[in-house]
Amino acid sequence: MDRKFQAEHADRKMSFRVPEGFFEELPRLTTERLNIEIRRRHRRMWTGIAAVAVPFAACLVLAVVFRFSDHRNTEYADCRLDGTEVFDRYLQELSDEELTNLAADASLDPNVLLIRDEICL
Amino acid sequence: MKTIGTLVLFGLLFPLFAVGQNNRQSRLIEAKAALMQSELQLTADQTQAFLPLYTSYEKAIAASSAPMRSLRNKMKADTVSYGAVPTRQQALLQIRTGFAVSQSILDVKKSYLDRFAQILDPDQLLKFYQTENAIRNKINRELRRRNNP
Repeated sequence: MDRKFQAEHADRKMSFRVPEGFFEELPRLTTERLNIEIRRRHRRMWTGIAAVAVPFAACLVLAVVFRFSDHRNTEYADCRLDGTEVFDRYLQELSDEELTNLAADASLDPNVLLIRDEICL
Repeated sequence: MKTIGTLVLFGLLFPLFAVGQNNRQSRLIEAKAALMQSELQLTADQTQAFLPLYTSYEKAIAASSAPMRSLRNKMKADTVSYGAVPTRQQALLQIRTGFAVSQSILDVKKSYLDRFAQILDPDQLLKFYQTENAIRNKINRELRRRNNP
């Protein structure tokens, strides 16, 4: 079979050619291509991770900034105003819905009835 | 992949919402504590002992009110869906939840009384509960002011 094949093709020229040293270079080229593909996949993976991690970090930073700025405001208010003014200002800053909810919560708070007259703030 | 991304994003934003809720509660407690502090005229030692106890007291009361808050939200949604007139069942549920919440708040108040009594003088102790009533009156007054400008 092999001999027959060689006899059939002995007088023909090769119908294609490869560049000089192609087969010597092939393993190196394959490894290089593979490395490029691996690097591309890594890049894609890190982009995906960054797409999740960056908004998360931004949310976290915002939350921390809001928390501390609020605290600073309250401390600032505390040192300038007396307690009644602090509370009045807090009430005035509430939205209508927040105030309504607060009043609804407060209405469930059972009154502690005392003999002394209620103080008027 | 996009669905997972969306879910992850919601998962990440939820703590921010929770921080917001927590922040609102702590601002209320800070404002009430400031009022209490100035009304009771606490000494430095009393303030140091009073503020952590008062914060935990207010948090316990807020936790007791939680069932009524969630019922209120549910009823708001029901009003939108089924109209403003409550059914007998809804009315009974609201009243029973109100009783349960008031009872739970009263239990918290009773359990904290002795601890406050260890920090405050008798006069301050009476004033503490009077100030609580005054705070409620202030809230109602502000609500009336906004409704009838």
